[in-house]
Amino acid sequence: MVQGTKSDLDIRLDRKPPVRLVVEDLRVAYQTERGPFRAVDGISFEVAPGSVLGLVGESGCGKSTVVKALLRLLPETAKTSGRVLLDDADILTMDAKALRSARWNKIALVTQSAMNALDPVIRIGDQIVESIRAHEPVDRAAAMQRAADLFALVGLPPERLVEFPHQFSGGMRQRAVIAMALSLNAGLLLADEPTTALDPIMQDQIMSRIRHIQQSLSRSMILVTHDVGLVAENCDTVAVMYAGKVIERGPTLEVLNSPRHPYTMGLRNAFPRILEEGEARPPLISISGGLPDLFRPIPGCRFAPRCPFATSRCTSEEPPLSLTEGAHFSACHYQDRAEEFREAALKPGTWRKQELAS
Amino acid sequence: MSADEQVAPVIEACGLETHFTIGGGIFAALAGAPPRIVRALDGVDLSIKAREVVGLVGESGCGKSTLGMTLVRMHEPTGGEILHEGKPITRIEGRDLKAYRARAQIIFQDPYSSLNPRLTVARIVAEPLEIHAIGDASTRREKVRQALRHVRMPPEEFEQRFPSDLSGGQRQRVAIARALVLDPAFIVADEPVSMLDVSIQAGVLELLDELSRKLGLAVLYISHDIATVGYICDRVAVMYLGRIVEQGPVQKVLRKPMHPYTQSLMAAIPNVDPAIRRDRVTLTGDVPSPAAIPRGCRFAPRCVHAGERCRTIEPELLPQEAGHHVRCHLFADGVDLQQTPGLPVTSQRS
Repeated sequence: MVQGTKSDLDIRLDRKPPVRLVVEDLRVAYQTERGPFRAVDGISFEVAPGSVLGLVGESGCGKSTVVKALLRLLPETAKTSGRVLLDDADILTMDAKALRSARWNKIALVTQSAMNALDPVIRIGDQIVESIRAHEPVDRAAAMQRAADLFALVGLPPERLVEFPHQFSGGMRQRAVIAMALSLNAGLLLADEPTTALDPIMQDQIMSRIRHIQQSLSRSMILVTHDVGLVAENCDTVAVMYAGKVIERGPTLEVLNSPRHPYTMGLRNAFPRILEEGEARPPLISISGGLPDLFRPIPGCRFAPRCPFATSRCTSEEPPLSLTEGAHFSACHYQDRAEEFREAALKPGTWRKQELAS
Repeated sequence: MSADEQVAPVIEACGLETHFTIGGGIFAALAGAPPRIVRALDGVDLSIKAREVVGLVGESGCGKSTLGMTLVRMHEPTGGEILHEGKPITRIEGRDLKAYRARAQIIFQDPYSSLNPRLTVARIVAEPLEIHAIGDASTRREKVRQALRHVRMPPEEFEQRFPSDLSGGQRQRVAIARALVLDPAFIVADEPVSMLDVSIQAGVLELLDELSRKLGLAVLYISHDIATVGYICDRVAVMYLGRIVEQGPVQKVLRKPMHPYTQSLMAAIPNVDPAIRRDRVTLTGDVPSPAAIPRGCRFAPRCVHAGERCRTIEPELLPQEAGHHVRCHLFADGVDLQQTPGLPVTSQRS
């Protein structure tokens, strides 16, 4: 920990290496009465040790399903295939004992709803102590000391460790959940919309703290969000998901500044930014239409029905996620026309063809 | 059009207060504990003209929604006045109140729970007409169709659909159509797009902006998403603990914020350009409870500039330049906060 003298526990935990995560052809289909719902349909990505991957997309794109699959938290009705390699061990096939030791110890999770992540009838400090002692052979006092350090780290007064979740405000609860997720200094932090429910000021404080910890301890992290601004500020690489697939992936700067997939272009346009003083209001451009029906197999590009540049090839033949340049991948048949598309995508008229459908 | 300039604002709040009493139950009474007063709105002045969209921003719990709901009389004001086209409506009741409610409508955040799932779109939009007994069946039908056309949902296609067939953006359009069907003069839009996906929210915002101009509506747009405010609002008001601390033309307030609170708020917005890194002002602590409002300036306990005077005397909301008002002692003395070191300026990463 940053301040005070380090206990044996702190030293041991600080020495944990960051984790490399490789996801290969992950597929998740929820079995329902209407047949399989292909929430995640063959996605691959990699998180290099100590780096931050942004997983961005809108509701229903499958990003939260990916997070759950990485921890094997999906319900029994979900059929999962592919490989999730955590430092070469496949999470999807490991036995219960190995899984128990990987969870929290190697991968920690911060969820969106801090309300549901805490037990309402147990003091918050005791909940953190419990999670530490489940994985580390330390006494209660040492674990409580670590809990107090973690509270200080997320900006909560340690004397409030003895309180119950209902005595905390929403922002404080979210910070307590983050403290708990950091308690074992897991090599990979999965942050699923960690600040979505919070106000801008609280969001900024929490993201700064998470980023500081991630950088100083060189942790790997996946930040799942729909907020392009958070990705821009926090992630080294970004994967953009649409309807169960990664449609574009690469270094954040490149993907956001020179997107090669029309969906990413549209997402960037639709995302409001603070305008310069005296700048004329640019039109906010929405992407009309909705997600395709994931109960049925989709022959072509998933974005084709909403894409202003789609051709007949797009509706019949699925574009593979292929390397464009550097480490920038995109799943579009018309990679070579990306620059032309980017220019056209800035004009509202381009996107207006099926306005009524939104 | 020119006549509008002369008439009173469509809606005006003067020193508006909405206080709630909590803990006044039987057990508290038996224990002899006095009820506590939550000062959710504590002296708000705001006016909105026809064809004007005013943004209202602030952290949760600052009173934004209470202000919206008090202006349409869903909460009872405990002090101050609300004027509608120059006439006080603060304490009207019965038939007058019902008539006012046809003029002042509200759109809520969650289009998944604000529409009755068992009614068709046409019935949902027609309901306000039935409640206010406006027109016969055929005029109602025509008004419903017109309202649906205003929100760009062709009636032929959508009239007979149920909310479950609609996307979030379409549902929110239905909610807007329901608000428009009574030909209101004033609409409160309380976080109308915060539940919608980014690719959809642009369409709803654009619609609000267009309707305000086309139908001459006064719109109060409540949001914690400050970036969206810049796209549709003419003016913006920043609330903190039940009071407006800054208001003015939208680009002035967003780009040259004066109040230390607005500056922290603006500094907390992530920038969508990965090449730009912000300098940060770290604001500590949470918004204090409106049941225990600090003495002096309400923001003083969290303010880096707070001095002795800030902790004892509450500043007034004073005009600075061209319609820009700020409630801060620092500006009463002509201190230029923009030049003060340690304050947010966006800087390029080298």
